[in-house]
Amino acid sequence: MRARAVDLVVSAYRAPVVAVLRRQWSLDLADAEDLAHDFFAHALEREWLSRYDRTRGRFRTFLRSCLQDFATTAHEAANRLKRGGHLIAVPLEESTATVTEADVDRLFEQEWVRSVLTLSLERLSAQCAAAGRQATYDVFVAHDVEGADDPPRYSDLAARFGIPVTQVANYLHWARGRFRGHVLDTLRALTASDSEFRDEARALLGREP
Amino acid sequence: MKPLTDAAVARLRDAVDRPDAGERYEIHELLGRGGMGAVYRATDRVLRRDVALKVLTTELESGDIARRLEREARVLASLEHPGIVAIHDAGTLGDGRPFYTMRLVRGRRLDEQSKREGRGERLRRFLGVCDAVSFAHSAGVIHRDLKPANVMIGEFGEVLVLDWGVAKVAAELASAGQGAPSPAADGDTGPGVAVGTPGFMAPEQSSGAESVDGRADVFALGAMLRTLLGTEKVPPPLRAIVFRATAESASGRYPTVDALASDVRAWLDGAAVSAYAESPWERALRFYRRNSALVLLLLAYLTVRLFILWWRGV
Repeated sequence: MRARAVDLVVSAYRAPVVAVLRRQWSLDLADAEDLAHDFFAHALEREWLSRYDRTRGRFRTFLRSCLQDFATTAHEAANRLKRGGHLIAVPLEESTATVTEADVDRLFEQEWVRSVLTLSLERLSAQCAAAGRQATYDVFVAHDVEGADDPPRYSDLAARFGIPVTQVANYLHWARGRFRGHVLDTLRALTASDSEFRDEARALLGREP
Repeated sequence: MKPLTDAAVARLRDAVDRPDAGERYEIHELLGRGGMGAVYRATDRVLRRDVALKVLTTELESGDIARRLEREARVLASLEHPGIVAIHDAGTLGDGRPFYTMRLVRGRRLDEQSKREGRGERLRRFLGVCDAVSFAHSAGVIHRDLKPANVMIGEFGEVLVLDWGVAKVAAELASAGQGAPSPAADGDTGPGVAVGTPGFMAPEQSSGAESVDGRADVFALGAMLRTLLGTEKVPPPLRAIVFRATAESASGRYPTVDALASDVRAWLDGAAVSAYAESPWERALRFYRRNSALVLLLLAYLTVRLFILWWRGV
């Protein structure tokens, strides 16, 4: 067992938590972000993360369950305030009629993947900047991020960045390899054991085509 | 940083997942994915040909899964048969993942192909599967995950048995002192855990309790035959073949794949099937079907002969 990087957990799960609060509890962005902040502050203060027991399921499922409890409590507190005539701090209205549990799980998973990839991309950006390889990063982003819908041809990228076509291939090869490394490093830091890490790696990489 | 679009997420996941195949192989599209890893179409730049490249999902999979991929490569390398896909190369990729390359089979899966064909053609394909499995058994290899989805029909009509990832070499079983197979999901080779596909797994294979031998593959072939015959009206002898091949007890099944194939071949040839005790009427009907020209000729001859005798007033 190793220590889970708590700061990274907050960074990686912030966006999924906000997305769930917006979808399941119909909060606007600002309220969802405030409540997400409260949730993580509460979780750290009460040391919820250290209570996770791997034998009882995935960490994400555990965190979702904690979030559900926290949001329900917040919802009840908001209702009590409402009945007491006070200002409504968090106008929570769970819209479970239109959003199923499976939808929320899928959303949480999808946003978690997006979050891990974003963090890894930031690490790649920092690595490229430190190594003086900004052009490598720019070519990678142009091809695999901005051009994801319809990737530009290598020759077009070569013309745009003023480099030979073979250099485009080399840049992409280098950047993809490093990016993969950052994704796996991020997953390793987010997990507390090798088996949990492998499960998460499979969840992120081993999807169905 | 701007939020990643869904397309960018998909593209980046693909970029991360895509094997780093170095100078020799150029990776193309993903062909399929299983519990152990993924298969890509790749171009071998040295030999200038397309191959199928199978690779683990991550280089950090448990040692058992990595060993299983290596064992699958060794099993395939030891089985040189037209019905078993040929392996070309094996090793470790630049990103640390074990891989092997094999012949790229262009064609259809047996379950897809069989929807377009008549019963006779389906049975002949089935015999092709039996030939390959029988050869593997003769080399001491039990497939343990036979099903229509693991059989490809190549573009020249050749039958190829794929996915030997959970195959067991008989010598390994004997040396292990028990027949418990290794699980398909996580590569653990401990006893009492089943590998294979429900519906095609022999009872002794599902329970992991008894020795598993070639008769487990006989069971799977019987289940495959039942699937291939579909819901159409199946002649009793073929039903009996399926019934015998899929007997609950291994001792009630065909002892070998060859014996099973022999019965199917006999039915195709209009001969008697060992699994089915036919009535005299069925035997006569079968004789007529098999020798209809001769029977009709004889009947015609007798008719003419009787007519001549009648004409002469005998």
